Amino acid sequence: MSFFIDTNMAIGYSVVHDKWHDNAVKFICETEEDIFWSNLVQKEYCKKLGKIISIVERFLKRANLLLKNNETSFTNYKEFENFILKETKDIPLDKNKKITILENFWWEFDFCYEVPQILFEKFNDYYDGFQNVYFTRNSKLENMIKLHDCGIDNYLRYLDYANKLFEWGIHSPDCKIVTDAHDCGLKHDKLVFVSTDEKMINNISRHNHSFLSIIEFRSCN
Amino acid sequence: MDSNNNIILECNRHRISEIEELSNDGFEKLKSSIEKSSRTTANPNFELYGELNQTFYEISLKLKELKLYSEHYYFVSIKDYILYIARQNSVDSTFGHCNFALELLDFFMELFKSNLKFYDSKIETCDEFKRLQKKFKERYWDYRCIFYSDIYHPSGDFTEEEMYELHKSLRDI
Repeated sequence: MSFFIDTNMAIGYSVVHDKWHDNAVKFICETEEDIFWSNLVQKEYCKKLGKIISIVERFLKRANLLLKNNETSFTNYKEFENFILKETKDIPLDKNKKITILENFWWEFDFCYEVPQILFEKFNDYYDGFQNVYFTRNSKLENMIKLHDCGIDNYLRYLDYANKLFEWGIHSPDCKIVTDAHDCGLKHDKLVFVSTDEKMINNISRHNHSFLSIIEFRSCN
Repeated sequence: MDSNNNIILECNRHRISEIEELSNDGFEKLKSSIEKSSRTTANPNFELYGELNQTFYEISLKLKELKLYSEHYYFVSIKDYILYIARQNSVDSTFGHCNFALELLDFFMELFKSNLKFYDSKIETCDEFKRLQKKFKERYWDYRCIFYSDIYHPSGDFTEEEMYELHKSLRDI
């Protein structure tokens, strides 16, 4: 048996704050059989990962820059928080998450609030460490998943299958990914398609999908 | 420079060649820094690191003066990675990753020169320019991934587990 993962599984693994992170990690780390992804899944994953990281990163980068140019000392955490929140209002990250990030930093470094330069240096380190978590996980994932190299436009070879899936109400990008999995299933026996998108899995499972070389559509949530 | 806008930029020739000279100077200083750190004894030597930092600061300023914002964005990131490697090697000559640092600077020069060709020709935004920018962005992403997963070591003020738990706590309810 082997497995083919959807993009959301890869995202779930790398993005620690994703709601399916624990499920994705459990599946990917505990499965002994081969796990595949396709060129399209890999490309979609990289693009989405960049977007997800970028919002947190934008906030941290702005805060980092603010502290770099700041010359006033903060006498307490609230002053620090208000200063950062005021200047990062336009960053579309939930306010509570911003506060969580700032609090986590402050409680470790509260001894240095009197010296703006030290505060900046420590926050700069914190910012780097933040990114490190995602990129390290990305690196681990890339080492665990095997690439089924069928090209980006593989779905064109199975356009009739993709159209059938589309008629069932499956989203167009997912139709392409399922046909990639089918192509993988032609080469690797007993292929199971795994996704955190329960709605899609249930939708496909309701129909006769025996034309696909996929023995099971499994939800991972 | 926003690639979505028409690219008609009156380049200041003198400033452009200053950036090229500074970048070549940066290359030489980086190579020097690497060679010296391999011969370093017990004490850290930050002299060359300081010179490299200054050179990069000047490049960064000039890019901003020329309003080459896209190139400035890439440079600010890349120089931080290079300076990190240079600083670590100043402290510990066995740290390595020197070829990666040189490759990063090479990448920036390639991007800078390539973009200048388009700006110089004063043509409006074209598909080829967009395609090229997309490729540079993908390469930059790859370099960033390599840096954070294989080279960068957090200072240790937060353990990896603590950072992991913090990220988990940012989950949507």
